[in-house]
Amino acid sequence: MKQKWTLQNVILLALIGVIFSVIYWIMDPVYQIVNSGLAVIGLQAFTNEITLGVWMMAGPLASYILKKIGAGFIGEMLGAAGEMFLGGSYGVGTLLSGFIQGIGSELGFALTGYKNWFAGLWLSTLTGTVVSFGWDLFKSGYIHYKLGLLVALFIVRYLSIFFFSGVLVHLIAKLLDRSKLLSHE
Amino acid sequence: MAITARNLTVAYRDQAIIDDLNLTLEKKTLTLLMGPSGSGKSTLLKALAGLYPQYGGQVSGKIEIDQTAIATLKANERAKRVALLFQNPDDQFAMPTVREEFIFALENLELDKDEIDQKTAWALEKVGLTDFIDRSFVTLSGGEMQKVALAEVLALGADYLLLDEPFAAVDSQSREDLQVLLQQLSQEGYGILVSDHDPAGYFDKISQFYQLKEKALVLVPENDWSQYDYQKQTVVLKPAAESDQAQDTAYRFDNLRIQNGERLVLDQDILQIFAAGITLLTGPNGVGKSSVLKTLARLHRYEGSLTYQEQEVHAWKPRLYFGQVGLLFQSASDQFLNITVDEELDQVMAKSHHADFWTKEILDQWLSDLHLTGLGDQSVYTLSGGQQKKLQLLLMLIMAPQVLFLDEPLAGLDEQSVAVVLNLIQTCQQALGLTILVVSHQTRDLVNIVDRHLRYEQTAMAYQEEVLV
Amino acid sequence: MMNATQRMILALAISLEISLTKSVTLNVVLFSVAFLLLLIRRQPLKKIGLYVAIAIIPVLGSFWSFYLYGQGTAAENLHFGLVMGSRVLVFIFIGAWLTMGMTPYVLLASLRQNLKMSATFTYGILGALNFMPRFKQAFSSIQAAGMMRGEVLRWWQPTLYFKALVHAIKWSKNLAMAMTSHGFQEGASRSAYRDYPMAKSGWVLIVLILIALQVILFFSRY
Repeated sequence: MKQKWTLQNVILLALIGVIFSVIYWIMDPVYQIVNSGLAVIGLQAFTNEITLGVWMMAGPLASYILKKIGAGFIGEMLGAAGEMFLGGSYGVGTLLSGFIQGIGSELGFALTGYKNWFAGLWLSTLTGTVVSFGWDLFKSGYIHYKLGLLVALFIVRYLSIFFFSGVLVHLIAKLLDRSKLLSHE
Repeated sequence: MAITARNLTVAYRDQAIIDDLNLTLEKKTLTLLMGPSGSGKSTLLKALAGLYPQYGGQVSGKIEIDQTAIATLKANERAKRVALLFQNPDDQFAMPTVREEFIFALENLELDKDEIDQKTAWALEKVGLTDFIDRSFVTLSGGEMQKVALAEVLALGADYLLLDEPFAAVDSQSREDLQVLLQQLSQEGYGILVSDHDPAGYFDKISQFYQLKEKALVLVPENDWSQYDYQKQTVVLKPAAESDQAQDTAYRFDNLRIQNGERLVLDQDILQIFAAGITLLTGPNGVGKSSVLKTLARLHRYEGSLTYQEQEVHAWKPRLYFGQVGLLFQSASDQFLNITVDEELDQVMAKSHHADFWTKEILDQWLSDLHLTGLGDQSVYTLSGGQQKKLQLLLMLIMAPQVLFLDEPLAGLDEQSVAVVLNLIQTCQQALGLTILVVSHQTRDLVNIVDRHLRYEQTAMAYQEEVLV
Repeated sequence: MMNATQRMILALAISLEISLTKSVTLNVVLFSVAFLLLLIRRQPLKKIGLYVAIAIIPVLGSFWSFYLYGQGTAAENLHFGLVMGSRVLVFIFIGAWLTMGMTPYVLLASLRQNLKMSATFTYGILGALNFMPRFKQAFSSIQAAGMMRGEVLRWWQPTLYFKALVHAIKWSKNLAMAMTSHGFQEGASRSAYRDYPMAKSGWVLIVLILIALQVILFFSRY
């Protein structure tokens, strides 16, 4: 693992941010559609939990591909900043969410001492869930919810992050690995 | 005072691209480097510009610039001496506007504001683009971008200019302008090396001419230049055999207009593309051939009317359309979906529109003719450029959609491969009755297998029986 | 008075503040001020209209889900619904105020000068932004390439992302080579054509605004 950031690393990291800023921006209306669908059956509290995994893909993917300290945090921040500049539905709030989610994802890789990126990825799905959930306890008033609902919300959120920011990210990175496109570095 | 390469070998993934090569490039000279695409011209130029091993090549041997080993120079030192112009004008600017780009580059050399303004103005004037300073790159044509790129390296102060196929996306008038400009610059004292696959317009301007052959350079003596400076010959296609029968129409153009950026590249009143057979589309560089192919492949906007099977192209459902129409992308990697060669072949064998034709035996025969046997579990992204191109073409011909557009299918292939590939295209076309439209500058190779010829000049296309080869 | 860095700091501070408080009054005040600033700075009405259009659905959505399905009394639910709805409104209009007349270029160049962000990051990110429009094309050709081979690439499948990364890797290499060839050296010192100073008056303004927010919060009864 080379720790120095080269120009090419940074451009690739930023391009990952650009790709996901567009995906995040597309997710804004998707969120609203899912939300109105779930509201009909009274489960709108779960909208955020179900979709959140998509919004957290940039960080783990960046870390897992670039294998550098800070890649996850910066990748997620760039995705969020891009979403804001594109005119996303949460304006400057996106930056704050990106900040929290970025820290959450980065933490998983940090816990392995940036040594085991595979374990780091799965840990990051857990730390990402815990940190973002902790933030929502205060920000979104989850703290007022009953314990049973909280547990259910946490589990759904974890499953979403596990699938999108864990399984899907792993599959993408595996394709990249097998292609050997980055192997000469 | 020169750039010299001694016993230079550059390898990529342990395969030598250039091998034990020697070159001296002096100031006040203009050198032409020719060689087919894929022969290693880009690699040589990047090595001379000092970009390896930082960007992936393994280098041995020695490159010196005015007696200083290039490997010892940092990028901001190198840029003052040697500069590289890239093949794809789009990929070489970091900033959105001309002014910002110059500021970025000159800040790298730690110049102050006044020096930056002055050098920017001087360099833009030199290429005749003073008015372009506040233009944004998305509004520039390929030729204008290459002129700005040239001005940028002049502003950086480089004495040695390396140009890697700089005219690939440049129209013929801009090509001539730039060639004259390069000659003037070399007379002023710059040492210039330009690589190109097309010798047109060089021989009254250059001082040296090299061919890159089998990973090394061959100096072509001045007496022999005339052999390369051939006048293009005209070949007349034999009138298509079916011309007396009614020809089916695949595509119909009616007042079709295509823009590329801000430029109108096609303004076509009535034209048909006939079903079945191979049509060759030729035209000067940068005229808009790729844009037309992309439009036909439903990947580019258009105004006016373009119908396929009597239905407007943009009104087709994408899945249905691409079930009948395929495009061989200019860049092979854009075509790939899976990772290994076997995965790719298995996928198209399963999905082919003509599975009865493509038996395992036929496939193996073609794989062996194309020298693609034994690559089974190799990643398609690690194949050589030529192997990628051959595999890409094979994949699309196994798919065998009713209509197939081929964008430069022979690029990067050696002579022997070209012959096999032409045979493959012709065999599939005849056996399966495909409609094929091919864009290629390698007209001499293709002319034997094409049935019709569309000539594209300025902003319109028309059928011609004569083909310049 | 405030440069781009200061504006970003203020915007982040405000969004943090309203994320952790539940005052409809404060949110309405902040929204009104941001909206007025957009008008005073002569932002095109069409653009302001666009922000309003972006806001409508998430604002109503946030309001309804807390109002109708909240866990408290009707009054609590109404209050919390209004807090969440108006919060989204503030986010969007503070975001609009932040990005008003500011390009990513100015923001990044300011961050570089003011917060000592590395040149590699500043220019790497700036260079990458040029590719934004090209991803759209790349995305259509990836999907077309799939359909030409009888495959529909779905958004939850890894292939689509992998192919986008193939483009990203190619572009990052080409652009990095060009920038290196134009003299960019990681870690080397560079000159600055423009300065993006942080004025003292800007800091004073930020402090005053933040104090004002606390005062409004203190007196806010809803």
